[in-house]
Amino acid sequence: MSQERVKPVGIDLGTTFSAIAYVDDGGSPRAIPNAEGAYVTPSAVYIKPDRSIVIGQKALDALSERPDRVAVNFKRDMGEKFYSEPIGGREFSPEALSALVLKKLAQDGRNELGEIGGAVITVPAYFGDARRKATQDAGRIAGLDVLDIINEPTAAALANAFQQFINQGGDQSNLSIARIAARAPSTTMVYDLGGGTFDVTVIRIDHNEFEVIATGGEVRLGGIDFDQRIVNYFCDEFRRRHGIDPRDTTETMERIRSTCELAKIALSDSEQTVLVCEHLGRKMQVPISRPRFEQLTADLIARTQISTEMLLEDAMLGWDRIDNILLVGGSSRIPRVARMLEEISGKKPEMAIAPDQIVSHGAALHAAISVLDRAPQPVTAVGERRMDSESAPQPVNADDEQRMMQAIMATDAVDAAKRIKLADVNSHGLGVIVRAKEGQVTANSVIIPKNTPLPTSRVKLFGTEAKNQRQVRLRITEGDTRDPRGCTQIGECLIRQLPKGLPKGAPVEVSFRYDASGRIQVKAIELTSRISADVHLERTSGFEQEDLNKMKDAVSEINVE
Amino acid sequence: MSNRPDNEDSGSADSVKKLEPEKKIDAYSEYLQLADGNRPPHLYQLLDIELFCPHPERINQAVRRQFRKIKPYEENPDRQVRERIQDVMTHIATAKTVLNNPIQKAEYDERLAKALKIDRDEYLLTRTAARPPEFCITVIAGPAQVGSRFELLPDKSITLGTNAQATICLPSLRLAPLQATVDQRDDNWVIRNANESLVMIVNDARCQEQVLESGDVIDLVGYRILFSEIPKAPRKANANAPPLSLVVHSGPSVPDPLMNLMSPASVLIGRCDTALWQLAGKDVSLHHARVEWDGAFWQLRDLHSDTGTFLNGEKVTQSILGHRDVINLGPYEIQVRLRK
Repeated sequence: MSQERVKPVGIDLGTTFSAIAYVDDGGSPRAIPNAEGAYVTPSAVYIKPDRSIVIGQKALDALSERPDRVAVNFKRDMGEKFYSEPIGGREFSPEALSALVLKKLAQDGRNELGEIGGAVITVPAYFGDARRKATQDAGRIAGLDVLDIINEPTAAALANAFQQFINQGGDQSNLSIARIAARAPSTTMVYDLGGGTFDVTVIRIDHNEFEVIATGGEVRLGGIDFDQRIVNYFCDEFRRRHGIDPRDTTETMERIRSTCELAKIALSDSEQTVLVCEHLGRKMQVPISRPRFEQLTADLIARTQISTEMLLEDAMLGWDRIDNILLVGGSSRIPRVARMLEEISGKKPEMAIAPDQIVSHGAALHAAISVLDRAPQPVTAVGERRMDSESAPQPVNADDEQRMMQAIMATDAVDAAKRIKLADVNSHGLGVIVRAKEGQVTANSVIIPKNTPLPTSRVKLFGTEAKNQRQVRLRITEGDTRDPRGCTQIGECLIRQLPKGLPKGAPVEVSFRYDASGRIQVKAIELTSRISADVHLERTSGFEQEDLNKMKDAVSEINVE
Repeated sequence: MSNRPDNEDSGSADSVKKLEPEKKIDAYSEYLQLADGNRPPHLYQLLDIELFCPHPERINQAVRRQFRKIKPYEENPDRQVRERIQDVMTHIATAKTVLNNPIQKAEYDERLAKALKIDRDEYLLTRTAARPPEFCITVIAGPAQVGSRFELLPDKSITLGTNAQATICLPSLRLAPLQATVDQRDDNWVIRNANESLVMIVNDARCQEQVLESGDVIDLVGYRILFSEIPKAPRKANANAPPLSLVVHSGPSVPDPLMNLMSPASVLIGRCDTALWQLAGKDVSLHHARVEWDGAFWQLRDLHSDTGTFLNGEKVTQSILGHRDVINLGPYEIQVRLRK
């Protein structure tokens, strides 16, 4: 066995920025810098005319020159077939574009660590099944061993609890992940406003247990929407003065957009800034104050407020039950965010130490923990040493196990990390489409409602639709409405060859199992004949294996820089 | 406020311009079930609350309600529909910011009053002059809480569900933590499902929300509640039926092995999802039997079930129930308890 420590990594695959981290020998998460020396990498892909590919800041820099060849914000399209626009005349799937970013991050990881042993990738808690699958596929296409995917707020809470332990004078020489929360149980709200998505989650932390109580959010709400409001403001001013709308042509838009983004960042610290942009040879300066910015984006903040209040309503929690509010994600630096939360909660939210990196730190911690969980259990722990090591495969003995774990982190941290437990909830309901009794309309019948603690299993009884029905087809849905249009079909289950002569309304029992790693198992049984059918919906892939391999091969041949 | 027309126009408080969607999708009526009328609707129409509503709590509750209605559809595969839905969500968020800000609300109300040709002060005065009668909710059937009465206070909404924090906590495996809410709209009390997938039956008709009238009977899977005016004089104890309890003594496990009843409740027993008392064994018919108060006695009635209903070992179609009677129904044995 190699003595080199092969470390798993945690990757925060963000809409605008991504980050990678690992857990060092002492059990502390560490960010990995990219080749340019930065700890966050813009999630931008530039496909050069010579077909070579550039990722990150350089790709973002190329955006104003070659907007047709640079892809950004593709996380918003996750779960869709193609990225919203063709790049260099070709259509790309959001998975493939994300895979390129992951490949670059993994490359940076190898530069730092030598080899990397598997990765945990983060997703917004509010992502549905299709987007989660797509994220996992992106990891596979990038050639990564995807250990797990973890919800961003859960990762943030984990990393934050760890950080707090250190801040409160945790013994640096004897660090251990699990001691982090050896304090009084507390309930934390994680408010995560990122570049493109918004998540809000309530997590109960009791010693080593991180239990998600409820989660909510919006998949299309983030920093880029705030930028767009400033862009619109500038363009309206420009049109008013010059009679031309910069939005009518694409050329200067990217430059205006990045100027506006910088202005947004500046307005977090200063009360006023000036937008200076040039369009078609006409230069214009537009001053913008923080109150103006807040007016332009009031409804966006209000939307996060609505989601936050809806979450408390769902969880039936009052603000008195929330002990602290943790701000995560670059856009939560917008001063109005903390002010709004303080106004409605009466509590002062705390900003995560590194709001851009904390999610990747948490993912790295989770990666380290999942590798430990995967490690084989010792057969015996007797003092005798096994001498023969020729006949493989051998059961792993205690020594080997110890060595395997030490390959990841120091013994002390190993013990501690094994004690951490994460429990999540499902962010969307799961159910089946049924024909409602009253009339012929179809309806969605939710079997596992959202915010149910995982793992879970539920059973519901239905009846066949017609006399002498020979088969039952179940369409499995994700969504919380009775109206099927509010749901997405994620699978199907078919009971065939039912006996002849069954009456109408013959009992069909449908059971759902949803395990902690996101696997959904559906079983349907007709109770009089005992004929059944089942289907496993694994969160593995939205692609056929063959296509996935093809994409993986294609990406492995590409050099990214 | 200056925003791009294709995206945020509907959001600005003073927008009275009509949106011109490329495709004719009226997201307001499609997803919020707003009545036809001017589009975009004014903010009070949008939130489906009374004109010039002065109660911040009711406004915010309405915001969440409307947001819950439309949000599930934001993942629509059609990009154009998705954008329309986003517009409406922005519009609701704007309603929240405008109506929660006293200065902006005053300005908005003034503009709206002018546009509608209404005198706002006079309007509000006539509204408050008419005091609605006082109502209460009584749990009349279910595994627990039967006989409990909750008075409805003006402008205070109440919640019903399994959660201990609910105004009316209804323990049951069949109910959601938040099952339904009752709140005031104009002069009426309205009951609403907490989410669309939950079953609610008001006076035998399945619905999502219902304006309540005194005497309405509402079924929330396993529980039946009565909405009525608060009686002026305290009622004579046991003027009506003695409370009845049905207990599953043996049989396959059921979510609620106990059903308590007081008149005017009647209980449908069966396998059906909407049966007030659901017993899920396979020899139980969808609608198997009914227990109801006939004015003098508690009656058990078989509803042409496949396997029959037995009282103290004898097959019955209809019979009076007494204390300690035993009902057999499919694989279940049920004991009857009558409190005097």
